[in-house]
Amino acid sequence: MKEGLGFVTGVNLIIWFGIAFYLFVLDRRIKKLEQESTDKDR
Amino acid sequence: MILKAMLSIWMAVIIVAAFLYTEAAVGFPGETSRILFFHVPQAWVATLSFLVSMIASATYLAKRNLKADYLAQSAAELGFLFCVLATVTGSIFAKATWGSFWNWDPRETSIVILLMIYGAYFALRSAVPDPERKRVFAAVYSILAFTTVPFLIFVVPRITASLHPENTMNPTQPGMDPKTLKVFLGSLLAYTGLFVWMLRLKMRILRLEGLKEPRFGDFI
Amino acid sequence: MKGGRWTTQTGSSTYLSEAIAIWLRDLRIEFRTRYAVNAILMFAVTTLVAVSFSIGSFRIEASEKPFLYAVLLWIILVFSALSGLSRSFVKEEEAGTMDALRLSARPQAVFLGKLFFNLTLLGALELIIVPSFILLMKYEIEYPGFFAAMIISGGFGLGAGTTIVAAMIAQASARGALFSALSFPLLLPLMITAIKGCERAAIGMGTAGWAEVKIAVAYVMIMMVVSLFLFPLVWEE
Repeated sequence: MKEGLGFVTGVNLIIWFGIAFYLFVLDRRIKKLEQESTDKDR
Repeated sequence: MILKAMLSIWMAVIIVAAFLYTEAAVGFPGETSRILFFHVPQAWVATLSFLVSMIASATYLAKRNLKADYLAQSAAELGFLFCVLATVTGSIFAKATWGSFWNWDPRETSIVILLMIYGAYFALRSAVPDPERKRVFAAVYSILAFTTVPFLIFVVPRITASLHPENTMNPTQPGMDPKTLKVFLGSLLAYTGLFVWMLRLKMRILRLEGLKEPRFGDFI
Repeated sequence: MKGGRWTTQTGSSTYLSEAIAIWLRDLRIEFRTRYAVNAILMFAVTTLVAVSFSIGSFRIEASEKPFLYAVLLWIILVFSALSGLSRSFVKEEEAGTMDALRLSARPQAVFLGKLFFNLTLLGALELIIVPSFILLMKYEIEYPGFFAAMIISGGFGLGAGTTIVAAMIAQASARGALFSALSFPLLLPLMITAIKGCERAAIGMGTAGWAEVKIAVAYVMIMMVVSLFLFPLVWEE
């Protein structure tokens, strides 16, 4: 086990969970807008 | 929802495995060979999205349904994003192993051409005011660009020999180390899943934008 | 077109006769205004003079000449072509004759007519630029036949790859810059092939079965067929 690999892994995980969090938030927001637009159609 | 949560965890597992489970391949300075688990899937997704965009464009021309155009445009935008990612990561690796950020290696050449095609595609989309015509033109250009790809395969490798490490990351052994292979395939799966997720998000955004005038900040 | 000048024995006009009619009409208009010819040739001559003046025929070492000269020649040819070939469709849009053309001829015939016109322009461009380049730069070529075939097939490739793009950008805004941006990625494989071919023709170490000419011809064929299929979609109102 080389030194520093743990640190790099941590940084990568933080970046990835940041991206995933963003995507989840985006997903929710789009869902809300989709519901809004179908409400308007009715 | 459950699939998306699983993908989030799967990607995290891949990241941990890429750094802590596998061993660095022999013949590369330090730990640089670990780029395999990120750079190659990014390039794979970039290629895949180019293919998806072209097929969706042909579908749009044949059937004229909006969904195919949304798919073509979304795939092109994601392809561009992943192209840039693959180029940047590859460039850093090139600096570490070959000593310079850019060498006009055949694969570097082809990715630059791909970036130029995407750039032209977006420029065309933004330059045609009529929406129906915009979609047709974009689809036609996408197919034209795809037509020239076989020529690149013929032509580009003749310029210089490739510097890219071939299938085996470890030159002393035939084939890939089984641990490396496992994580690599897992990473391909994770990146493809991520691509599908992002693609569907983008398509839904485009559909919403088509339904109404988007407010500023809706999707930020 | 019945009973017109360009009819066949059966009385109905063929694609080819329509295309030739459009080609001749464009040539007549071009002969009067000389807009496209002037744009392309002035661009080409200016670039050639700039290259020849700043590099001259002695600055580049003999061993480097075949490759570097091929690169310079094709940069001049490709960018000159990109500077003016879009005129074939843009002028119709500017003159407001697009709809008249839509009514009077079938899409494939329009495409072929415009392609012939662009090829004529390219022929004129190559006829003037290539010999001047060879003379000014003391370009020594071992296989003149191979070299000529490469220039000609490359010229056909430039026409085949850009004509449909010209039709698209004529109907878009920001035409000039867009034409180069869209055409260049499509032309890049051809340009690389042509540079390689011209280098091989100059070096004199065998022609390798004219491989580059064959690739260029295949490029012309495929781009023409694909364009003929796609052109009606771009052209229809």
